[in-house]
Amino acid sequence: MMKLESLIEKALFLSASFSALIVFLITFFLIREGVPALSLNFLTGLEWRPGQEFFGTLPTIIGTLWVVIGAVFIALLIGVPTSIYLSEFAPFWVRNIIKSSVEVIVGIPSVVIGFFGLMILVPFIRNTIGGRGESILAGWIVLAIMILPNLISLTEDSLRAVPKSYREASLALGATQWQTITKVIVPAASSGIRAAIVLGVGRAIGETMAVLMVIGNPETPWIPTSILDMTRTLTSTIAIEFSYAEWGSPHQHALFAIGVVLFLLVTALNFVATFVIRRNKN
Amino acid sequence: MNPVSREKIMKRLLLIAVALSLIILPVILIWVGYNGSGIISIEFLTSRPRLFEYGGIYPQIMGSVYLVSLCTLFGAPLGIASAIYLAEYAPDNRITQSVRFFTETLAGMPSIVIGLFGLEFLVFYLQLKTSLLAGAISLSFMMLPWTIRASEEAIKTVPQEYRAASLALGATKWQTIVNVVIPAAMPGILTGVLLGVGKAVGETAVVWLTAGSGLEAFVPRSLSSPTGSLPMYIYLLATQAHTVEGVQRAYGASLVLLIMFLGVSVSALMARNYYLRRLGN
Amino acid sequence: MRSRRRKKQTTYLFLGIGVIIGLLLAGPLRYNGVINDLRDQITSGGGDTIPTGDLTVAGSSTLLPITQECANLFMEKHPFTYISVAGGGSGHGIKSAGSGEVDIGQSSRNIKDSELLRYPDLVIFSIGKDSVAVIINSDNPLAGSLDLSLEELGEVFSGEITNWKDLGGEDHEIEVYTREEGSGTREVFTQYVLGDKNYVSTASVKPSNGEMRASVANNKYGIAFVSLGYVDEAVSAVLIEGVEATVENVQNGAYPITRILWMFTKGMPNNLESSFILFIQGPEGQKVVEELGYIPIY
Repeated sequence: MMKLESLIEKALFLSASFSALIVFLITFFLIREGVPALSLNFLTGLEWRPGQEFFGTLPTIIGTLWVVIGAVFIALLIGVPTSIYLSEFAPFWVRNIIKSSVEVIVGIPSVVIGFFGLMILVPFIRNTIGGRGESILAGWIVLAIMILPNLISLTEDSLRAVPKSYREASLALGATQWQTITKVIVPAASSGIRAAIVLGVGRAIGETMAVLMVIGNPETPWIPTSILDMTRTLTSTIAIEFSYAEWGSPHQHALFAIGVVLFLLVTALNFVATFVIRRNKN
Repeated sequence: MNPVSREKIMKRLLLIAVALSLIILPVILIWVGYNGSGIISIEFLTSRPRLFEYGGIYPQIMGSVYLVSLCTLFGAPLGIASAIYLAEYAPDNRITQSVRFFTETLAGMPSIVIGLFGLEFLVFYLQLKTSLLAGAISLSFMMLPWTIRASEEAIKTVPQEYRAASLALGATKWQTIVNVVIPAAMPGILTGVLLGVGKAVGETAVVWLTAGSGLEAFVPRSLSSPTGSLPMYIYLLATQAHTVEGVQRAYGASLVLLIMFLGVSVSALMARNYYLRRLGN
Repeated sequence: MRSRRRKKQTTYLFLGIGVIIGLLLAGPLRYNGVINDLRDQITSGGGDTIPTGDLTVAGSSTLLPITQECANLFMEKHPFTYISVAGGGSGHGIKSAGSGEVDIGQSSRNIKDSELLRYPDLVIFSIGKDSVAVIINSDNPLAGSLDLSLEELGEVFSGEITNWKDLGGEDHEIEVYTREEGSGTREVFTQYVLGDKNYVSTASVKPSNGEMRASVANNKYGIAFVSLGYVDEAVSAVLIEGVEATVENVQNGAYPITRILWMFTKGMPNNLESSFILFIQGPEGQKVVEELGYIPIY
């Protein structure tokens, strides 16, 4: 009997290590295929011309950052006030409606959101603001929609985790509700909000389809100077070019190397988030 | 400005933000519903695509269903087992901490990276070819961490007294888990699995690299045939259609995909409520 | 008592889920079994000339519509065959056929020396001809009248001419679209038009012919190149050296850009492979080629 028990425990441990195994395999295969192309020049080069074997990804990396930072900023502008409303003001039933509606957005397939961006946002930007329409701005809006739900639910959780006594103490000192929120509750929840931001950045960096459909993907990306510029992201470059890259060619290795960069970025962010959350708990 | 009127302005600004985040879902649903409902017919749902942008989407619907069912078949048991280990057995040491860290890393892994890995490892290295099997396994890598997370959370919320009572009655740890803990954690576990299923239904980048071109005209006949899927179909038609017919089909397929996703979400909610009610008895 | 009932219901739930999944999986497996049985019966009855079996095709997205439609017709005619067609691009098609991952590869560009060296036993078939047309938006004032030399085209796509004004149109930037590196259509266009020049860096990369056309159809100031089969009333084709991009002009050699659409097998094709390739090369297949706007081989 005891033997069976310990056997089960071992089997369970094996299944639990399976995710670790997958991560190792991913790392191994990415590195095996990507390292031949990784070099300082790969990270700092300004020109991406696979035909002539120029593989500079700096503009793509900066383009990715532009898109991601803007999207997270927009999501914060909408998400934090929404979570404040949810946790501090909303009656129970309103909160239920908003939370479930927002949670459904998480699951809307990214290709549908990209389709929305392509049919509605891009023509709207082209006709009212100018430029080609396919732009960093369109990428911001599409990505912000995609990261908003997680941001709201994480932020709301951390706001609700602030002890009631803080609120009472602040109100008892004569502070208004608004002062209580801005001076007491939000600062107390700030590490949770920071973790939510980090996770949002990670999600935004990794998002492929929706962004790919609206940001234009120029032939040779440049360092963007305006939000109406087209740009490329790391993910869109892989998605567009992998199928035509000749197998075993430097181009294919370069695409895997972009995968390595993505992997490192996301893992680093995950590391930071874990660290922030752990410190938050202590 | 006095604090009270500032309070009012601030609250109004809050409400604007709330309205913005509340409006996204209905806008997208109405947009897809309005444009997509016209094309939906028995014919569209039961015939195969023809000449790129004509015909129906039956193989794509079935392809998505197969992909997701297979993916659940791989992902769910593994995810639940991992969650049981992490919640019930794992000692708090380096090994389990790193297992947890890797699970989180996998959860944050961009789908295109999982797709690249699936292409390199499953399609080429293990020679599964671009197929239903390769697609489903790659999708299960995406689904796994979500299932683990939700199930672990659910198992942890089962009150400690349940376990104590069962152990006191002479049940072994495993018997306690199977007979007491899992049934009590079922609502959370089911929701977790179904959330993972919802994620897998709409995933495009992974399927693109591992499962097939998306326009396959037949329901997959075996695990090694390439398979169509709704997200790939939508991507292809949304970006490449040139006739009104083609764009309509992209809307129609989006509507079907959304309905499938909402179906999964609603069944997740219903399953949760059903179990909660039963536990309440 | 209650816990036993609960356990029972949990068991039922799992059973239910199991049965549903089982049914879903049984579908294709059972179907396959029936087909195999039938196939055995037929072939044992001396029908060895009837093509049977599974075939996989992958490669160029330009050929994808042709092959997919031909595969559907072929399967309707020969019910004991199953052909699956995937995209992936010309390079992928050559690589997968050469390494034996798929039975037939397809490419819309000529095979490169480096690829021939790596896969020396590829057998090559032509299934159609194609051309590359340059398209602009139908609302562009120049639509229908724009006539450019290959050299001028090269200057437009490499960014030396950047304003429609310079071509006699409105004062607005020319918005160039291009295909991704490795695309067969792009390689043909580069070979005929750009030569050693680079595409202008602001050219927006679209991963398919269809997307090129859709982008130009939605952008009054756009210009792009697509496979001839993709030219339709939604866009306007540019005259090159005074010649209109039509099937006849490509066939009689007046239109300057042509290419051949290829299929490959590893070694000599087997019965099924050759019957499928012959089907595409035959009257029914060539009709599909024509219907989709490409040029038959004869």
